[in-house]
Amino acid sequence: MQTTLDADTTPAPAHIANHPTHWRNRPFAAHFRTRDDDFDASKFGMWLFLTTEVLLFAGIFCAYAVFRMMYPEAWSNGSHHLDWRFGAGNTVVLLVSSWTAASAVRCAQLNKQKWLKINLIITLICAALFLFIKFKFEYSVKLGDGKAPGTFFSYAFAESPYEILWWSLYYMGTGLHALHVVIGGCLLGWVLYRSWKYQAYGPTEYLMVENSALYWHIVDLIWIFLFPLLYLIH
Amino acid sequence: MTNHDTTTHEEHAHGHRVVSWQTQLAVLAILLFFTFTTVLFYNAESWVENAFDIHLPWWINVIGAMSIATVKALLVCMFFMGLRYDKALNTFALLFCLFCVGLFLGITMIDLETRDRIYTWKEGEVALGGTGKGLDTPSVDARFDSSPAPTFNTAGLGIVEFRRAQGLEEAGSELAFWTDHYHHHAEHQHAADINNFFTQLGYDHHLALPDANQAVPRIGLTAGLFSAVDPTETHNTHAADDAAHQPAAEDAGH
Amino acid sequence: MSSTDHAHHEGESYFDGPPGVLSKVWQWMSTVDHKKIGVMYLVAVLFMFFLGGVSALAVRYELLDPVRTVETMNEAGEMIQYTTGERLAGLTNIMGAKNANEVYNRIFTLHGAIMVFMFIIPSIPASLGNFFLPIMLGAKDVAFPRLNLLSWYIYVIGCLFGVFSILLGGVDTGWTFYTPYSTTTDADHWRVVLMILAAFILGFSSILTGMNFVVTVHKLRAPGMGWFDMPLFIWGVYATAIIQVLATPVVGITLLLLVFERVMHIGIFDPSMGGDPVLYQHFFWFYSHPVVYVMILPGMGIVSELLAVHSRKHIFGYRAIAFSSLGIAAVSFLVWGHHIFTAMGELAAVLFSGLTFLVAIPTAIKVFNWIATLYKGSIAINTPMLYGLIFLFTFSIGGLTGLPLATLATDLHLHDTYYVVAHFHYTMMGGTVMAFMGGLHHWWPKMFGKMYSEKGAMTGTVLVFIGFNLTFFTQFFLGTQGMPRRYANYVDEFQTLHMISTYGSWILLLGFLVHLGTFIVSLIAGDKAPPNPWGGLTLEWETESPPIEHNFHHEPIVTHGPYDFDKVVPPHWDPKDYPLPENPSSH
Repeated sequence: MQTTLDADTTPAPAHIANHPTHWRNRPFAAHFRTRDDDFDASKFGMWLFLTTEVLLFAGIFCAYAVFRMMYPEAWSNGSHHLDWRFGAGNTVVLLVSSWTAASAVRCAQLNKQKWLKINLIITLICAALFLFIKFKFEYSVKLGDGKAPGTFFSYAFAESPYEILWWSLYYMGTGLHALHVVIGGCLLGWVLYRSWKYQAYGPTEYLMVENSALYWHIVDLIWIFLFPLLYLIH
Repeated sequence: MTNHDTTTHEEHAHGHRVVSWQTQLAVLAILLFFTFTTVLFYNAESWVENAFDIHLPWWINVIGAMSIATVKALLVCMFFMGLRYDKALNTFALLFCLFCVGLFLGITMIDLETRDRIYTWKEGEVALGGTGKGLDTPSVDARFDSSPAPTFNTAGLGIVEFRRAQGLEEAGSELAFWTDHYHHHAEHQHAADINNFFTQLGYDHHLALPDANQAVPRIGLTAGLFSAVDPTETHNTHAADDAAHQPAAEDAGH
Repeated sequence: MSSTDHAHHEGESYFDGPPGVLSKVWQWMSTVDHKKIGVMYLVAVLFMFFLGGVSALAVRYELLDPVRTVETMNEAGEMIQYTTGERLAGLTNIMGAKNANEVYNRIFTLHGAIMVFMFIIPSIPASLGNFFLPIMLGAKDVAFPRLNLLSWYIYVIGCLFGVFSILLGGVDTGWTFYTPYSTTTDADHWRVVLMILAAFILGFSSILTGMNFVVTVHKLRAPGMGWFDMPLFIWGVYATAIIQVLATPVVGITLLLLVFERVMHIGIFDPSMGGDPVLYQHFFWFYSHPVVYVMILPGMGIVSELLAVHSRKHIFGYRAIAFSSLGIAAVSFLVWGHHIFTAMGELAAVLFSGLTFLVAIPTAIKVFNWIATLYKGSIAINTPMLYGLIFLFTFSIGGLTGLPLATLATDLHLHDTYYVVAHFHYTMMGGTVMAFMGGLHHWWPKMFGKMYSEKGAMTGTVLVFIGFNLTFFTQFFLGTQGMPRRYANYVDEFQTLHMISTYGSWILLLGFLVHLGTFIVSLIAGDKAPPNPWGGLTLEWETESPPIEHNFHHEPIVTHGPYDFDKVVPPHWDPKDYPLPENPSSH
């Protein structure tokens, strides 16, 4: 089936095609026997790294579960202070960005240089949008109310003495996640730069696209759990 | 170099599976559908509680939200992250990591769940909601003291009570205090906070808490674990329960 | 010798670089060669061992005698009071501490933090593991060489954070940073925060090394090398790497939360704000218990090599040892609660007590297999073998004394006493450090191409053995009699045992100095090492000593197992110096 998504067949100009960073010109690491070995090893390494990310957030999830069990009323109050509409909006933004990241991998695999760049740009726009919603509509408003972590807490209308723990975990969890959004954005930005300048990624050489996309998906994956835990469960 | 200009449903690039764009788009559609479902579930559940005054058990909310999240996560892992087409080793790494997460959460929760006797033993030795003493301790070493956190004297109150007292003092009267609250939050359209305001004026708090708040509140140190107190004599969970709700009750009581 | 394109020629050893000090330094600092990185780790790790050792000696020096206040009459006939036994009091002003007791608290914290985070966790895997894991697999390098160099730099940055905190005066929280003490202690914020961040950063280094090793073992084994043709050292390092990858992130988030707790009072671990300090202990030990197996598993791997090679016998129960490494790694995630028995609910305590006993099973399997390996072997009594035997002796004591601690009833009596201190020093020092020293002597000729003086090394070994047992065996008695951990003072009855322990620590110091001297003499004036001085069959003995840049001239093809001493004549074997067993085929 021929569609507009499959239409990028323009050959690269000579100065890019002959550049050592162009995907056709890049060798694989010399200590591997084949390019496939290199690819599989790097991808397995990335997956191991992703498991460490999951376990990093497991600490936040564990603290969440424990304190919810200990202080259910504080958790219920805290959850009601969050507006699900912002959470759901951000979920949609991240899901769309995850889709474009997966499409970027596909475009690299099929040598669709134009659509690779377009997909990466949409992903980066989504990352910025996520952070904008997070900071503009959530953090700044809540901090203005005094719903801040720890001794910065100055909200006079809290009902439970433990709500302060809810806010601490809220900021730690979403803050750490936002940090990962920034890191993932930097990785994808690097991929975009290299593909823009050198067409560095193509059917035989798309590892960096794949691994950055994997990182981006894990950012999405963690938000998929943070969203119901913080906004929906009460 | 092989030419990959045309696309069929599933392709291979350099020996690796290329997921077709139709599949990817379908997965995105399903993910968005489930996002809609989980929000709908949350709102429907709140609506049932409010409209018919049915007290739904807490686990309906939790199980509903978490199972939908798990399905979404599964879809992302299988299709977007490509585990469905990938080497089994990567899936195994993820599963083993999730097993460790389960151990970590599970066993920690077992301990926290079975610590009741310790809590009853040391009852009366720590104030519920904390003494705030940690905030009163100034840093002694003056050479590098540049703590960004404010330290202030809460006079033995928890920080939430302390801030409430501060707020009441600033507002002058209790009515002024809650009116401030209303105006501030009407501006930001915070539904939950407005509901609190109506509660203060004597209306029912129609966002009732789930059943889970009947659990025993637990806090603090295990001091007095080995003191010569007979746990069976001092066992009194209700006192602890009441104390936890005391601050809220004080403010609402008029 | 240097050419314009490449710093190396084929056949040149890995540390022959270009001429000129600066270019040599640059070549080392920018290298992605796993052997150079391994040596760099070795130097860094041994320096940290030195720092930790000095603080240990200071701790023992303070405990030489109890603090006594003496009232006496001076020459003028006035009653005067003076205090004896505060031997670290001179450091009070230098460290900005309140009194001699606080100096003691800071110094034992430094000892713990340095030894655990900066020495013993990276010791074997990052130095010997980095150097030998790819060679033993027949690979040219680890899977991600640049990541390997990055992890060394991260390690150094972490150490600098720790050392900087020490220079500012150090912390008195204990290496476990238990809350709420670590969040409310008088020590100023940045010292505590720096030390916590040091541990956090070192965790990153540990994760990257672990990832690298797991992928290397999976993807870079030489042709012909199946999983069960790998040397047991690789199995040990592989199991270690799995734990490093899976456990370290949890301590990462724990320490991050702790930093915020300390700086911003977020309250999660602070009981005065409704948080739970025991939750901190769960978080912390979920990492820090598995990490004691990060410390011991590579040591067990080394001992498997030492005992098999130096008794020239096929290792007994290869698969049992390999699987028990994985078994220990799996069980290690199930037992963290035994560090906090007295803070937990009964159900969890009983559960953890039962699970803790499980660790004894794979460990005992290993010990029995090692002993069976020695049976009827042609045992060469040299330094590596001696350290292997010392390991068996001290580690068994360490392991068996753990069982009373896993028993809930006896633990109530023994917890937080010197018994615990003695127990973990017997496993960590008597286990890991002895294996590390054994491995260092075993592979020293391969790493640096020089033989060491057997006489000097033996003297050091004997001194270390005597000093170690004097220092720590006495502490079992102290513990059972009720001497608590982490106290600068004690009652007079304990003085004799404490004195013996302190004198032992001096003998231990002497032993390590003899080792240091032997190594330095070996580097300067040692005989050139043959490719295979011990008659080993693993792949590192097939290449030159020291190895060439990409380890092998041709990619090796594995045709025999790593311990087939009864079937294969070891490569580069000189039967004149190291005669084979009389009847090798009788096995």
